Amino acid sequence: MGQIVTNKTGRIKINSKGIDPEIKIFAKVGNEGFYFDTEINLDSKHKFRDDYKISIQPYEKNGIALPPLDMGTVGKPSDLGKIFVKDINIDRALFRLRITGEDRILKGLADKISIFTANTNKGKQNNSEYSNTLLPVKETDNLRVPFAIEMNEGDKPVLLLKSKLGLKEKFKNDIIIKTLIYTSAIKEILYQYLTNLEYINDPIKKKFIDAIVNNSGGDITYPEEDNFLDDGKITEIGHKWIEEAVDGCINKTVTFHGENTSYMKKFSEKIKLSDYYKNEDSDED
Amino acid sequence: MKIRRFNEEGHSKWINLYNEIFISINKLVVNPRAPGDSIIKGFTDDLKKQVKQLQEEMDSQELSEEVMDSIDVNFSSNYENSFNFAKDLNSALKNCSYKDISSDKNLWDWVSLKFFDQIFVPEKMRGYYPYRYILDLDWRVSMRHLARGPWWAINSYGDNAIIFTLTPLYQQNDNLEQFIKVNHMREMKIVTEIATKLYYNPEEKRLIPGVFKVQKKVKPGSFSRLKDKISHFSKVMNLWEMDAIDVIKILPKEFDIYK
Repeated sequence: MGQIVTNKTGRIKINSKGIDPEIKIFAKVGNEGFYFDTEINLDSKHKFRDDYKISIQPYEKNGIALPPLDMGTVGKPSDLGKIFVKDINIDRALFRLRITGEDRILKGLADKISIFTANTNKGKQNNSEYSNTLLPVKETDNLRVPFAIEMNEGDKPVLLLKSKLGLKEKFKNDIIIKTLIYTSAIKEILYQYLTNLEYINDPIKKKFIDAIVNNSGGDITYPEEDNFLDDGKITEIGHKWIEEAVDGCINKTVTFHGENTSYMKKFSEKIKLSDYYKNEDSDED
Repeated sequence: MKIRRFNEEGHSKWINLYNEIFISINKLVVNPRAPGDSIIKGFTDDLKKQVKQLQEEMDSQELSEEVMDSIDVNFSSNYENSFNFAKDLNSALKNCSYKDISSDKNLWDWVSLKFFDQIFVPEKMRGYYPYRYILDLDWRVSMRHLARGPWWAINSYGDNAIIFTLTPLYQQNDNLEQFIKVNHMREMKIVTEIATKLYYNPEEKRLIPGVFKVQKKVKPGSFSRLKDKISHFSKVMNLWEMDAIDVIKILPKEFDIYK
């Protein structure tokens, strides 16, 4: 059974996401590390006392944390500028903001704060905006198959995973599951976009296909849709374009578990040994 | 000796060879929890020969290059435990940036082949999965690499990593794995200091027996209970403003016998 956490000390969650976050972190790559600046704007509705201390802490996802840095008090906050971080890769960096009261009691907290970019935060403002994620994932009870694609005109396609099977976690961490589902999902979406007349003027379709074309690194160009359908059926040219597009997606260099690789490369490394992994967790001394 | 890193060709040769070793052992294993003598039998004379041959070739310019800023260290051919091994590795790499080396598969896998005779001892060990010798950065197994895991502990926690590294080189340390998977434990260096102060006996140079054992009925004051208490404290207090002694003082009575 998981631990039950009560909030007896009245710790407040500080908003670090969305339209108007209370803390923004700006970062720039530098020689052998990165520099970051902060912009704090705590909401007065929290009613923190003026003498409560503010600190910000850079840390690495699934890795190390650096000591927290002083940002003054709630009454006299002081933003940080050009703080150099050597030991954390900018792509894996996150931040934690703490508001601490008397006797070191935690009064406010924002965790997993990402570096602020106009794109990511704009994406939160309006779900119909196209963000960096090609394929958002959602768990649902309403599936009788392991996964499906939810597509509606004007919305981003969503990968639905059957809930209570731990599939979301596996899709995130298990390269074999991820590559198989991802390959199938991208193919399905492209077939729908290119053959279903319902999406003919869908603006999201263009953005999705643009992203796919970018993934291919120049190997494919935006499809000439007139060549794709013949008498309502997809043509040989259409099939070939979709195959090449999916190929581009799974062979594109991505960061997976901190490593610059491609899904296909990792998949190939793992699948060779997968038959032999009788019980991975049982490898104990 | 200075630490080197494989180039693509060297790394690929080592990965292929270890995969062959793994497959050769695994086909004989019925129960992976108790492989019995399958590791001895599966690590055939031919595979031993191939390892030896690759070990002889691994330092050539064709297969590897010296790690820039690596320091010359006299490594032992017979380490008593992972603590001493990891300390020497850490000394050899002390001038290198953590960011540059911590996920460098070519480096860590070169180390695993270099010290293979000490980290792969078929007569004594039970684990043989590739992630022990070929770095897999999946967070669930990344610390199981027998060279990188102990180095990471020493690099992060200094001498307090002793509680996670008193095991023979060929053995994974479950305490380390349990510890590093919990964010607030892994990140806060004082937690290892607290655990070392409570559970390590410096006179006898060993851990207090039974405190790390995972049991259905959790032993009062044990490492499992310390994890619970640190988790609790970290949600309520800013532990980063406290030192190890401050935290030990606020631990409940059940910890008194270890204080």
